[in-house]
Amino acid sequence: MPQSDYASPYANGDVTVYVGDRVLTVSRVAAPWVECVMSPVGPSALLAGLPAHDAGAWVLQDMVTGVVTPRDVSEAAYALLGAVSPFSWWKTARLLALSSRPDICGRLSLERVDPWSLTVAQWVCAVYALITKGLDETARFKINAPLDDPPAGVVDDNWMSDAEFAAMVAQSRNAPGQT
Amino acid sequence: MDKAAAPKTYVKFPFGKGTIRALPLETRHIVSLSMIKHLKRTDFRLDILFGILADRMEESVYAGVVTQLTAGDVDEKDVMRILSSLVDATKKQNTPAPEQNEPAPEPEPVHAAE
Repeated sequence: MPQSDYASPYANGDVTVYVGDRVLTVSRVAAPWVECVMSPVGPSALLAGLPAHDAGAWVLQDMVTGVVTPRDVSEAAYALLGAVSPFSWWKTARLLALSSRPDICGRLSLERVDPWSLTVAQWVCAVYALITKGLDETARFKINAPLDDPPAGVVDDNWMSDAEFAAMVAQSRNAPGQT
Repeated sequence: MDKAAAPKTYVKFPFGKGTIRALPLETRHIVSLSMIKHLKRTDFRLDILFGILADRMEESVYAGVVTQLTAGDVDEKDVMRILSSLVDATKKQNTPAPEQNEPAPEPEPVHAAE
C-alpha cells in the first residue's frame, strides 16, 4: 500500500507520497489539484501533474516500463488525497471537482477565496461550508450522502478502528452459544 | 505456461509508405497516454511517448522508426500520430470480428389482424 506522510491535513508544508521506489514531494496549494482531479483519468492524474521537479514524468516512465502498475499509481493518488484533507479521499476529490463548477467557483471568488493562497484542506472545507450554508439537517443529509458514499469497490472502514473491531470480535466469541 | 515462452501477437499499422508492427498497447500504456498532458515540459512528454514505442516495438524496428523520425523535425504530433495508429490497431485486435456464416434471423411472420 502506498504511503504518504500523515501529518495533520491542515499542515501547509509540502506532502510526501511514495509510488514504487519513488519519493515524491507535492505542494498543498489547492489550485493545481482542481485541474488534475478533473482529468478524465481521475485522481491518478495528480501523480503526473503535481510532484515538484517534474517528478510526475518518472511515475509515467515507471508505469510504461511496468515498474509500477496503474493500480499502484491510483492507490498512491488516493493516499495523497486522504493525507491532505480532513475528509475521505473520495469526498475530497468530489469537493475539488465541485469547486470547478462556475456557480461555486464564482461564489468563492466573490468571497475572495483564492485557490492559489489556500491549501487543499482549506479549499475543500470552504467549498463544503459554501454548499451546506444555512441548510437544515435534512437538506444537509442530502448533500452529505452522495459526497460520503464510497465509490464502487471501496470499503469505508474508518468508522471503526482495528482495536475496536478486535474488541467486537472478542466480545462476540464470548457470547452465549459460541464455541 | 511459462510467461516468457508465451507467443507474442503483434499488430500491424501504417507508417510512412509501409507498415510496422508492434505489440498491442496495454492498460498501463493507455493510462500513461491519458496522463501525459499533465506533464508541463514537452521534452518529458516526448520521453514518455518514445518510451511507449520502445516498450512495444522490437529493438530494430524501434531504431528504424526513430531514425526516420529524427530525419525530419520530430515533435509530439509525429509520435502521437504513430501511437494513435497503434491505439487503433490495438482496438481492432481487441474487437471480436463478427461471426461468419451466421444465418440471418428469420423474419417474424406477419399476421393480418383478425
